[in-house]
Amino acid sequence: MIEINNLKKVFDHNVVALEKFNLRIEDGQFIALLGPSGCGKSTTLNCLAGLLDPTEGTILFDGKDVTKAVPKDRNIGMVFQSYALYPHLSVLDNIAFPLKQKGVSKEERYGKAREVANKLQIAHLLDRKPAQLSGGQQQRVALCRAIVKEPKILLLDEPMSNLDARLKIEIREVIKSIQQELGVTAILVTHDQEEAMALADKIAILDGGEIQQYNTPDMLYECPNNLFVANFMGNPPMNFLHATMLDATHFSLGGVPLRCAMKLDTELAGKQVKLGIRAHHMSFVFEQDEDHPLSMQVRLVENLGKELLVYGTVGNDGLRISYHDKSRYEQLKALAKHKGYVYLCLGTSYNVFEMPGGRNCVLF
Amino acid sequence: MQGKNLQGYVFLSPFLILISIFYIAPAILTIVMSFSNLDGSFIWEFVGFENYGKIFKDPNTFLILRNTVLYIVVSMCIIVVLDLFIATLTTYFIRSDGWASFFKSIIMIPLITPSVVYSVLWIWYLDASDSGFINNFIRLFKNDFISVNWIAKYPFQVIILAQVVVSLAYGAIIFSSAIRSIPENQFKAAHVDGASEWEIVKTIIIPNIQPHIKFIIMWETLGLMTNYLNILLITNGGPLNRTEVWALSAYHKAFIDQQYGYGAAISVLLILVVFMIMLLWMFASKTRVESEE
Repeated sequence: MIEINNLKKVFDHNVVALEKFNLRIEDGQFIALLGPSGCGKSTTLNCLAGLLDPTEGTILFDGKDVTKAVPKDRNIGMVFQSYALYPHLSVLDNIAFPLKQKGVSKEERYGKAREVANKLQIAHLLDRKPAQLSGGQQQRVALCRAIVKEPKILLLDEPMSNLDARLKIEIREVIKSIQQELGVTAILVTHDQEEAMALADKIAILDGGEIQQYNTPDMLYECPNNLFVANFMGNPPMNFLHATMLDATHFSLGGVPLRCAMKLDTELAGKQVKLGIRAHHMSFVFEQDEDHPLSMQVRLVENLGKELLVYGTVGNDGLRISYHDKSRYEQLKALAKHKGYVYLCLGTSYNVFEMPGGRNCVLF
Repeated sequence: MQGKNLQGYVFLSPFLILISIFYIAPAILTIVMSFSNLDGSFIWEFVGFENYGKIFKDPNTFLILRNTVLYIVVSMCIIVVLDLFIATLTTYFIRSDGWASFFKSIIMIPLITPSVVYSVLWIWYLDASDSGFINNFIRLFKNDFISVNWIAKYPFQVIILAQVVVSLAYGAIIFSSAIRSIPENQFKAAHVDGASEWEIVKTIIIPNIQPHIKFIIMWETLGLMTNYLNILLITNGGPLNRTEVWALSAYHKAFIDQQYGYGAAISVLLILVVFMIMLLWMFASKTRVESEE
């Protein structure tokens, strides 16, 4: 188990990268640290690796304090965004390098290197130099090098950011299957929420050096703690609508009073809120009626193949709505052209964020 | 495209003309001169290969050749090793930019000091009399120290030391910027992989800056071969030719003994060697590029 307690890291010129950072990671779990650039996720990883000394706080591996330990004493493997292979060593020597540092005999280390290379299907590349490999192959070599000494913890620093979309998915599968096979604890740093959702058992969303929410991908997606998490998770991004609470169960949206479908954990009457609704949780009809009083001006419609994505505005808020009836494509296109209106159905599953704090007040 | 090419040539031509007048023409003149017995009376009389024959018959030639090779090899090795040492220390180990550039500025001082001033300093340091700096300095700790004539006693060590100190800065700065351009992640990966600092120097820094090391070796070799100013000013080749090197001997033969033809012949041999080294270098770097493709 990895425990990070009250970690703080201050860089030169008093730049605070992390503050009061706490995280517990169970053995064998796959954790993603997700956040925009500058949120402190790479700093956290570098502190875990021992490449950076934290200013304050402790890091425990299996109850043992490793805060001051050098990287080689931490039993970790690490994969970098830029692969960081040693350019003048062959692939085989690159993979065997960590074992060589441990003083493993030549025969044994080459044997082990071949073994992991087989596992990652790069056995035919062992004699080449890194420069002669494609990005995906280089990242496989880097993975081999990271796991060859059978570490307890695998640190992945944006390993897929330099790869194109198709390779990303391929390497994603490789990482996931190797992690499950070895049962190693893996920590992935990424800014790509889709990658984090696909790989991780649990995701920690970071912003401004603090954890915004640490939970399973599903919980982050369905029950975000706050506006930041809601904004970060999901593609297309969540829709946000400005509203004012009228009383405990009603709000006014674009001048139209509506019943709030969600139970709230606090009394918000008279306060400004933001409704957060997923594109596939809301819908619309073409004729206004009693149940659908709220109008949306249609701006654009995209045919995504399996569904339509409709862009529109309510007041100053932009919306994206997934619409499944593809036969309406022409009709919607005509509406978009004339800036016509459709009538919204907000659905029964959404979030209510208290403004200006951005806390999610829905009682889940 | 044609017009653009032409423009390029037009802009380059002043330099080509300047180089022709001030470098290629004297070089040709030197070659021509080397086949004459031109001396102080300035009468051109062609004597074929007589000057070249004279070089091989000169009893000092072997000594001068040995001095030159020794001077170049020893100085070059010391320079390259120290350059690597300084560059690694200032760029990899000392991560503070302030201290690193302070240190680099200090080793720059000999390079930017005029040779004459620099040599006078050495002569003063090593002066044989009781007022010589080193002699005085040692006497601070050892009252009965008898003054040593350092330059006469250790002439070869002195000129190598003087040359090394001057040459350090250039290579150290080249190496240090080369080390700086090594991706940071390679060092991180090596640390995670458990490599010691010595292992990092050996398997990451040195292989990564190998092209720069080769360049500095060639650069210093050519420089040491042709530049004799410090030797001229400190020992003037003495005592008894013990520090006479090839380029300096050309100068001595031509301008002290006024045997211009003979001096030219010695220079021509030197130019030939320099030329061959450059060809070899070009060939080596060409094959390297091809093998990388």
